[in-house]
Amino acid sequence: MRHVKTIAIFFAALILMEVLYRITSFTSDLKKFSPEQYRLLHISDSADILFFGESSNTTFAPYDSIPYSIAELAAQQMPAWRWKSITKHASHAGIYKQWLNALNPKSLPACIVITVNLRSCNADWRYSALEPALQQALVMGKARPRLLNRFLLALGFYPHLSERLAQKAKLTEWDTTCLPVSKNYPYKTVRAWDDAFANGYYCKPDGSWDMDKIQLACHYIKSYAFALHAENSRIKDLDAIVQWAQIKKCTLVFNIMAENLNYAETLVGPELTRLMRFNRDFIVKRYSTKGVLVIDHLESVKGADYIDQNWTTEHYNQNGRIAIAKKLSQVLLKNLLNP
Amino acid sequence: MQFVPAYIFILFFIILLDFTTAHIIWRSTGLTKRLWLIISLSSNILLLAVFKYAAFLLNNIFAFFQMVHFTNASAPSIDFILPIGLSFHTFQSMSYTMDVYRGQQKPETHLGYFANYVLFFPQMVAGPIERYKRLGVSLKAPQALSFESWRAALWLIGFGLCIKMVIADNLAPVVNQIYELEQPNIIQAWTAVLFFSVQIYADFFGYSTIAIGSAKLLGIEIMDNFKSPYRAASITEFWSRWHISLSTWFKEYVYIPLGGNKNRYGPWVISILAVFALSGFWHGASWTFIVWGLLHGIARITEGRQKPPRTIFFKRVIIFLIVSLFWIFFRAPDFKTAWVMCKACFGFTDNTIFTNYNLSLWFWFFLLWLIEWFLNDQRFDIRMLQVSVWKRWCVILAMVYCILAFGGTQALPFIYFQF
Repeated sequence: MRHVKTIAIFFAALILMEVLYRITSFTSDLKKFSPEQYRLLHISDSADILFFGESSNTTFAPYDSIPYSIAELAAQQMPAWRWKSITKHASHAGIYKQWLNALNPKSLPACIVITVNLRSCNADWRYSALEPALQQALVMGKARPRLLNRFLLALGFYPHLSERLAQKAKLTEWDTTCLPVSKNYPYKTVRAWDDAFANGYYCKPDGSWDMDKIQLACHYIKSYAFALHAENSRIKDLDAIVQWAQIKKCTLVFNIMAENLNYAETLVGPELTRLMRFNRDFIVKRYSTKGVLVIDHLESVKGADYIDQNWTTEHYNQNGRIAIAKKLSQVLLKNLLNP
Repeated sequence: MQFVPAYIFILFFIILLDFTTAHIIWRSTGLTKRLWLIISLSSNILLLAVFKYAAFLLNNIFAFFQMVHFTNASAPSIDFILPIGLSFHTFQSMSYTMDVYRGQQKPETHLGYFANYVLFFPQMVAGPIERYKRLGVSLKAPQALSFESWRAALWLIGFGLCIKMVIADNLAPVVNQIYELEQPNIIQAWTAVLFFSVQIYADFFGYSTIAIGSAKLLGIEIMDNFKSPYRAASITEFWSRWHISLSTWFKEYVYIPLGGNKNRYGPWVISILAVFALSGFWHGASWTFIVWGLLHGIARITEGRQKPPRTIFFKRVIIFLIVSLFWIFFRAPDFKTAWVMCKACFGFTDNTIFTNYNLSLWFWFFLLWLIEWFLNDQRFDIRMLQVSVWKRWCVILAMVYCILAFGGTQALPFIYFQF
């Protein structure tokens, strides 16, 4: 009986600790460890349109004269609507899915714009070394006792693979997944394709390997040589977002970001751009039928408007950002009722 | 440092080797006995040399050859992963063989008990390095589990977790950040030096306390590894309070066989320096560790062979500061970093920009001293029995709240896991 009493006192004390923590430290911890979720708690009731993005939203070229993000530029086109945006580098559908749960259910925005970056679905990004940090930043906002979340954060208890396992998973996928390339195309896996380009595909006039070009071509292959399917974890995350929006009766927009297709084709060939278009079509078809407004920007930005000319990113100069923002705002104005 | 499943065979090899040679040593006499001891010890040391020191030794040999223009080749790259806890279980196993050789320990007849001694999980990875006469006997004795012993075990585990997660893990990021600076200023340097002293103590003391608590859950008592080391008023006293299991190991199996206190002054100095250099080298395959050991050795020599005078507070502070400065060589990844930190500590730095660190971090620094004051030179579970029930509840609840609400968020491994 004595021990039962002791255990009871201990559990009562734990409940008091939870209350104490919520009163004293939770807000500052949320702000410190999950700043995006902290912002979401406070902005959802003051937004009609909520924009979730990654670095493509807020990366500017040094020569830009218009220092506005895509979300800000789109907001300028729709002055009657209150826009708010949350941006975090390297984030993706899996992160946005968790952010949605941090919204105040009593005052949800009318429309949520989700940035869909095709590259975020590839193996390199899914097993990225940045993923643990992204997952860590979500722990504090999980639907569990706050004190437990803080404890699990300290224990490193969030889904993440070790660097070694992530690398292994990525290489296995590159090695074993058969790509839906043309029948006669000789490279059926990322590994085979990458190997072919890595072994002197581009040479300089003097016969030596053009390493800059080779490196970039290989990077394009690793970034875009994949075919989306229902089992891809990003697609599952997008499915979950759609489900959430259907339950909450929110208008959902998937904003497919532009990629440098011209460069991909010049550097690697039409098989790669065919795969890129296949992936875009997969998303458009899958989600248009589910009531999602899918806005396709894949080929909306000219090659010269990419900031990184020697790497694969979705960073656009002001022309690129304006083009995307314009198309986004046009579709929204056409499809949304007045606020 | 990593757990590689195949490396379990190293442990099996050590167990079989030392179990067998101990029996042969026990039955042999004279030169044969000594020969088998050498075979056993050198096999253990060879394992350590291959997995822990091979790259260091080769690099230094090749560097020497290059210096004397014997060769221009650079050392071949060796990429062994250090098996987790190797330094600890080889030393534990070697102590058994040496005790059998000295006739202080009968060889164990049951392989299972001996294997359990080497593999005993709470202390296998980072100590305390137990002797067979203590742990072996304890493993064989009938275990009496009671509410009191379980409660004490849980107190110890909770306490260990608390100081590791709350003190060590909150100070570590600041220390890491400062050690990565190219040019720290004097305030940053002292912050890193003082914080690291507390970090390493909280980290290792925390681990040892968890190990003691985990063993106690099974009814097994293992030795204390720390006894408020920063209350020491001399380096001699510091080493009788810090990592006690390792310092007694070196004392029993290296220092005393070298002549110990009975030596004349010259050989005594050499034996002290040898023991401390070896102790440094045991920690890691780097010259910085050896220098760290030698610094302690030199400080120990300057204290002489007399017992230190009566403890006074001022002396404790001085010793804490000296030990903290010595830790620079332990923590720094190379001599360049160590030198930069040493210079910065004494104001020889061009960086005069004051960086505003979160002053609340000093709370964790001083919390350790508060804990030391509470412990009053006693183990946590014993101390808890001495205070009133109300105080006990206050301590437990404060501890639980600290673990839940204030743990460091970088989930850092224990520092001594790398040794």
